[in-house]
Amino acid sequence: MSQRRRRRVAVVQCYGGCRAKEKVPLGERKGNCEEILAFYPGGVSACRWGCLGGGSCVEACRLGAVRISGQGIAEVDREKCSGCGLCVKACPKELIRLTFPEYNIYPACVNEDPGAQARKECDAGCIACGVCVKNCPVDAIGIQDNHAVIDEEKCISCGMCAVKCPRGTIRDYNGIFTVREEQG
Amino acid sequence: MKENYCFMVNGILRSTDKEKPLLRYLRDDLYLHSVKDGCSEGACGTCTIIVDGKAVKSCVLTTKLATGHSILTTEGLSEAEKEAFVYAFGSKGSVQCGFCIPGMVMAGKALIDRVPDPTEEEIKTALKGNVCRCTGYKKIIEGIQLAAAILRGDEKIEESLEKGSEYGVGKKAFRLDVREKVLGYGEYPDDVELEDMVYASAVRSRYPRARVLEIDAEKAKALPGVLAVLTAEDVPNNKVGHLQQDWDVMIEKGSVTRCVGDAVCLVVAEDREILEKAKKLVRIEYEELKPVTSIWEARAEDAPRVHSSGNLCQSRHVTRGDAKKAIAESKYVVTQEYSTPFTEHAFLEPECAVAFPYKDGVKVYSSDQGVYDTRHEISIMLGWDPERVVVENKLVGGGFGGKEDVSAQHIAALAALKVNRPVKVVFSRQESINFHPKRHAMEGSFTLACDENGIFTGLDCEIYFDTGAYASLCGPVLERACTHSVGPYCYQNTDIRGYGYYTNNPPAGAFRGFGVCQSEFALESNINLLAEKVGISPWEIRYRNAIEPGKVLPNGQIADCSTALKETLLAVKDAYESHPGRAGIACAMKNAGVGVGLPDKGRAKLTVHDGKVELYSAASDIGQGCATVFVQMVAETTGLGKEKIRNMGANSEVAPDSGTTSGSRQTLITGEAVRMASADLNRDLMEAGGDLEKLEGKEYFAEFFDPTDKLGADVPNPKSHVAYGFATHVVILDDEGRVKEVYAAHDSGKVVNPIAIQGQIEGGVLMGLGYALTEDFPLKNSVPQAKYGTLGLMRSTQIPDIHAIYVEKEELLPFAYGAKGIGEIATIPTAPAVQGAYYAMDHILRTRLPMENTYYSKKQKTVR
Repeated sequence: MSQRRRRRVAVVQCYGGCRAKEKVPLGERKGNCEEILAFYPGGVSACRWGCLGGGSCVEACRLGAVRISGQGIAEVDREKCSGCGLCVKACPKELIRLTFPEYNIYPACVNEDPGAQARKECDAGCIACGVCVKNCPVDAIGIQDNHAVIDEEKCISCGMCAVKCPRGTIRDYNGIFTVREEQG
Repeated sequence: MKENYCFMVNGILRSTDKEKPLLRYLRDDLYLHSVKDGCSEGACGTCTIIVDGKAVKSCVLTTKLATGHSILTTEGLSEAEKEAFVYAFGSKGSVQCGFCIPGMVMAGKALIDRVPDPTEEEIKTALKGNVCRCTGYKKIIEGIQLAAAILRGDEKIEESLEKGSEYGVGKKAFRLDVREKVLGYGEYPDDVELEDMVYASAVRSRYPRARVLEIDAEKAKALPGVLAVLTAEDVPNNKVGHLQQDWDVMIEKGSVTRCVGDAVCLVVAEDREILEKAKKLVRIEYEELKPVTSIWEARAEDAPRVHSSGNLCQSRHVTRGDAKKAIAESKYVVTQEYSTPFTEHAFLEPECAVAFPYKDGVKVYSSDQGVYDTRHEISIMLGWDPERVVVENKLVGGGFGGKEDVSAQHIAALAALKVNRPVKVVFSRQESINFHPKRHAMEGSFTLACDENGIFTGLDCEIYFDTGAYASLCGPVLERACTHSVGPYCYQNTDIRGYGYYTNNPPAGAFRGFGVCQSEFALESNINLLAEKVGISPWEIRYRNAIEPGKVLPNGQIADCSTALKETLLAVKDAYESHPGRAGIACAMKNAGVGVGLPDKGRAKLTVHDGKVELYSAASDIGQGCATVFVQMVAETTGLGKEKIRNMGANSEVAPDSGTTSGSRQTLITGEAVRMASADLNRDLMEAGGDLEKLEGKEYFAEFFDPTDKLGADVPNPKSHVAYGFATHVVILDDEGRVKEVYAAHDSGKVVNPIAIQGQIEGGVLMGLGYALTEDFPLKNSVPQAKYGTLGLMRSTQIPDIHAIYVEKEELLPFAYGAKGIGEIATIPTAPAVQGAYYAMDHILRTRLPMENTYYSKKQKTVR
């Protein structure tokens, strides 16, 4: 029987952008992510974990599969992405990881601050409330370092965590269980 | 103003202002019954639909979230797609109980739309969220591949196959129920809609052991739409039970509960929503008591009594020869303790029944393993003559032994009689897990001895079963565990003591293998240790001891002419020997038929009506395919095609009692009755020159009974069972300890349906692998901790290559064209074979199931 290589795709673990309390408005940030980090040592947003919106990943991608959305966060177009991993290397915040296309459900936050603080920092941030853990039918999701983490070995992409997440942190790439921003 | 949620369903614009799970909207508002409710938790995949081209579980999605999306169910497939899937799934044998099938079809269709020529890996990935408990996935994967090929135009539909002009024994028979199951229009009880139908559900105990002090249902009764709240006082006779009537229909005020599945009261309401609300309004006051959580606690002197008769539910002593002396005089002796867990059947269709007043009694649409058993239990509860209760099976979405006891049927009947309307009772998945009997957990000590050549001399063992809160089938299951702990070999000294104890754990009863999975795991593991001592291979020691026709089994029965254990050993010899250090082997035997002196009868009635032969025999097809097998037997005997024969199903009003679907018995016991009746019909048919029309209105009845001897019968060679099936499994690991391949060689006599038997074997093997490696049923103070999705059921992405091999001999038994059952044995030798493979790899004897320290038990790493 024929075999096909399993393609990977990149996933951005932040849905903050303008949903995070900004210190420096998106439009005023200059340069790519490395330059933003150098220029604003105190950070550009209340959340020090999230996407800077500087587009280092966009620069790194040779396929035009990554863009910075209107909300100021990196977004991957899985149709174009080949899973080469260049964006993963380019992200100074280590927010991008590779996965397989069948895992369309992903927690889009790696904020390690305690829940109460994370709540103040960003409207889309994970507050480690554990609702996803409770509702996952296959025990594939857990809280690590104050944010939700999926064990993809167990995950069956049913979307239950995304539906139940009170913060909209857990996203559905397919835009069925959660609304996907229009690709620009 | 309420918001309106608009979306397309199968090309039609729909809108609703109710926010609810899309599954409920599709089933309850649009009556799209192909969308099955297997768990409503997102775990099982039976409700899979396609949303904007993606396979999605409709229980997770809501009407609100569906807004603006385009939804497709099986009903909305194009004609070409429908025909492709029906043919592909039928010809590949993808369909057994069928409850997962529409979900599988939709997951497959979503994949094929994206990838017209999917690889096996891609299909497995696409099915990761869809559980099948019957087939072992392989046949479903093949079915999707063939459907894809047909839709691409690379393969063609052979219409003659479904038509079935040649449908006899041994023919590739397209099952009778393929079309209705693939397209989802076949009715399971939950798909039944009746005028004025209402819903009932039990409020169950919060604690495994607690005294019920007060039941306050006033608030619930006051809720508009609530018709009744019934308690033990409303039950004419508050006891049911398959064999021993020890199971309270409801726990009465002042009494003590026995497990968390116990019903305290039964709420009847106009619809599901009101029902759920009303159940929450019932206030029950308990005095919590310390539960009896294990066999050892149950045996303690001062243990609380789970039942007034004491905690020892059943015991058996099976003995022959002088085991003590034989073992003492043997060169090599091995003694080991073994421990196996409760196992959940996890059939895809949760328990459901619909009951309504009928004639001078009640009729129940049921999903069970024996309509006459269900009738019997309900009539005991009502204190009626059994005839007043009519039970008819709808499609049964899997059973595996877990639907032998009444669950929803009796409370549906009770409620229907009370409110004088049709009542549907459907279990939630968690209710199902908490309520129905499991495979018994076992603790046991096994001593096996052999001489210097590895020839077995004697077996001594002590088997302890945890039968939980109720007896269910503890007696016979314990007995089979004892009688089959000897294995398919020939030695004559055995001393086997078995004990089944009540605890406050969920009840345990029948489960595919019927006690034998537990005891053969222990025996076969001990055999490997003996082989090591003797210095011969695990294959060799089995071959030297293997039973042959004419030789005497350890129970004294002389092995009949059809016995083909050695043939199964030879069939896997190369596979075993070509993987040194990575292969494990185990044999098994399993009775076909209840045996042990019981009146185990098969009955069938054939009626010629409207130019067709109508077959009446109340033998439940729980997915294994016996309904098809019986039609094949008629076809074989009469030469008629499938289109001339109709199986009228299991209905206690019109079909004669043909016993429980249990003990791998239907193919042989009922099959022979069908053959006998068919032979009578055929004689007349020959006389009529083959013109069936001339026999219009004629009836042919047959009863098959082959007597057996009861356990311990005082005869030199008691015949315990009509027949035994035999098997040898070889499990091969890869270097990481993952199961790579399984060779499953089976002697089940004449193979009636070669397509179906493979799926049965593959599914049985996968169930055995789960038992060995991944499935568990953890309890915390007698309360089940598992959800459907965490039981450890193997998913499509975990399956190894399973090679189903059947050996057919020339010499066959003179019943049912020589067929013996395959239902249970396929799942028995797998676990010890896995154990043997790991032992070969790392020399650690794993005596507990699921096995520890394997590839499967290691904590999987998480991603960030």
